[in-house]
Amino acid sequence: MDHTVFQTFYSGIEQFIQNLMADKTDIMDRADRRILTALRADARLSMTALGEQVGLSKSPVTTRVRRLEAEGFILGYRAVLDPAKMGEAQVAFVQVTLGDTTSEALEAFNTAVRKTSEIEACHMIAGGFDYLLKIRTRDMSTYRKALGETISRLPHVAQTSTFMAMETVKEG
Amino acid sequence: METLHHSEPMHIMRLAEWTGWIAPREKRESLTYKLRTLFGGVKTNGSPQIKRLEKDGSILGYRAVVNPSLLDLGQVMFVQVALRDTSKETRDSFTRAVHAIGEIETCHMITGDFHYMLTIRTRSVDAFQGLLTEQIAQLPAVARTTTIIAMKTIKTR
Repeated sequence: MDHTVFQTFYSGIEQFIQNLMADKTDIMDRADRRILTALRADARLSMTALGEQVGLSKSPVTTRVRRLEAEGFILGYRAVLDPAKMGEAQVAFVQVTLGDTTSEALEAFNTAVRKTSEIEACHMIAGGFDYLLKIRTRDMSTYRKALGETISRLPHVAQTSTFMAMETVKEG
Repeated sequence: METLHHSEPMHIMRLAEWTGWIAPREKRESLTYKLRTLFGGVKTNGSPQIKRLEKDGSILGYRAVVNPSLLDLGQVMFVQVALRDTSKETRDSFTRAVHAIGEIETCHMITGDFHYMLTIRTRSVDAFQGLLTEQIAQLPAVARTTTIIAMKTIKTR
């Protein structure tokens, strides 16, 4: 057989096998999705209870959970804390407009946001302002302090507009 | 690493939140390991301190952290909702609907021109559009809505 033809044929086979293996690790089937959904709601389900929820017996469900952990589909587990007991009962939403939206300015703002503990969530927004922040503080006066001393002082903040949450109806 | 105080359950709780009770990708960074190093000898799962916090409702539960896009929940939208009126009946019927719609991740009653702020997670803008027009806008209590599109998530805790 001609050498180059053989080479092409061989690398084709190799590619095929690589694809197969990649598929094997990347694919999540419906049972995996059900497992992730169940563990997102309660990470301490026993493997037996989890198996019942997703329709598998204990041993295959355990294997799947270990695989989802090892391959990074499950990033980790966290405790959900009572915000009131953490002194974070007051929720405020803050719309932020930056004075400068060059990528350097955005990056500086994003970096500072990640370091600010009062900011629970931050999304970049399309529309009349640039960012929407969700802030958690103890009460209205600590919010005012956080706004004046922390939020308004984040890099490049030109303007903020706040609406307070009066009641939490539903939270993850 | 910050210095933490044994006696303050709040720090233990915060630590539990930060680290989770097991981080599968870094076994050595698991909560047990961290608590042992930081508090000297405190065990986590089944430790009296953690059990007490679970019992008194300080720790509400434990959740797996999953990349939302894996579960077709990658698109975040914020929807502000104004109700027809704010009588208790109207609010209750709206609240019941909110709890029944799985895509609504959070809902807060807010000050301002609207009454409620919803965080919604869907697979795509299209999927969101369907949810908004066919479910949320159809609720009898809802007078009007406005939507804010999240282009990028910078931080969620």
